Amino acid sequence: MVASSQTNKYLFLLGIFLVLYTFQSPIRSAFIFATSPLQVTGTFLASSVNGSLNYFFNAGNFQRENGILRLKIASLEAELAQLQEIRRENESLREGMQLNLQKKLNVISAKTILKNPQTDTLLVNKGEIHGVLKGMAVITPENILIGRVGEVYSSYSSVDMISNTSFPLFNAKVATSGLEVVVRGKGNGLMGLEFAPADKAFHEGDILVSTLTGGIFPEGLLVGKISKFKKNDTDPVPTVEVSSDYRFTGSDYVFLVAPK
Amino acid sequence: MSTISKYLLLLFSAILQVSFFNHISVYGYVPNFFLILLVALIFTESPSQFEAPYFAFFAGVIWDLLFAAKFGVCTILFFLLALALKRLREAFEPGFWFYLVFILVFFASYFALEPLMLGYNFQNLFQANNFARLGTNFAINFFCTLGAFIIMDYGFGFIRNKATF
Repeated sequence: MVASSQTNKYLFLLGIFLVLYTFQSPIRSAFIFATSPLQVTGTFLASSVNGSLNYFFNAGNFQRENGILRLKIASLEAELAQLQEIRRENESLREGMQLNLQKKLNVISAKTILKNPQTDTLLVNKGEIHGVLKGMAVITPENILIGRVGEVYSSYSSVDMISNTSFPLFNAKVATSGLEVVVRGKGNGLMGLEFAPADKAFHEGDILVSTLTGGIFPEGLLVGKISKFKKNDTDPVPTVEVSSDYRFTGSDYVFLVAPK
Repeated sequence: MSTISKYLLLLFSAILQVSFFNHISVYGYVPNFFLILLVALIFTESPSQFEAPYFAFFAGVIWDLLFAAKFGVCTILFFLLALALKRLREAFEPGFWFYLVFILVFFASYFALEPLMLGYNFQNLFQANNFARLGTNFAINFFCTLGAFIIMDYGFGFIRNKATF
């Protein structure tokens, strides 16, 4: 009698497991939908707590940072004046060549729900019913590259960030020199350059943008900035670390982009 | 605490873990309060009941749905560990060292299987920073749970047998 009761318990759990395993995609989607208000609230609270803690710990650096930022603003204003001229020229050239990026791309706007910092994955509130496809590039309105769509559920999608360690290698180029490099995710919002040429100089602050090579991303999206460059005479390949400019704040607007 | 409250507490702690606690980290390493709570719950259940394996199964399902890229690993792992604990506690009256070894096995097997849950391939797994992250997370969670266990045992007397400490 006892043995039969035990068997029934095991069979009951096995049955539940098989049902969950078979229908995991819709069940996961429904579960995320049901729990997302709490998750969004939790993430928002965490951002506030983190923000307060950072403010408290960094209060001493504010004056120095303020000075650096003032200088940077002055330099950027000068650069802006030059760029406005280039922009006008660029616009007239685009019109002349009848290039229109928006018409060539399938763009879906979405909002982020949560980020898993351990795996560098995001969850966004658009899924299969909104036309999201696996592999779509995910960018911010400021053209910062975040990653690409991994799993697509009915009304949600997960996004593998470019800093995710499981993200495939992809090509980018250094904006100033045009040098093509191969980028690999290292986790925690960081990336590294694979096979960085030893004879080329990299500088901290150099900007990397995406290229069409490899066909993973559209061209010209901001990948990140070089945050560390270390070169030893004994090491044939220099160590180059790139940090992403994307900062998750809880509920950000993003664009999911695919060629039409 | 009623049984339904414990299930709700597990669900709530899992949601908090993937949202709130996931962003309150120390240099990127996060204690997993959900796993610590699960260990505490299965320890405090009587081995004569089937409640602990049910908790473990429920917790595994929630964690697979909320955290893991592949469904099933946590559900099976937590259930088997809770079932083994129940059987061993039925067979003899374990003391402190038994629980210590169980906590060690629990976290070692969890973090050994985490790459499988997250869908890592071999190339990713053998990257040095992944090993370092898994090892550090294992150590942090092991010592946090050990601390929680000692507080439970000596502070509140949840574990009945304290003879062998």
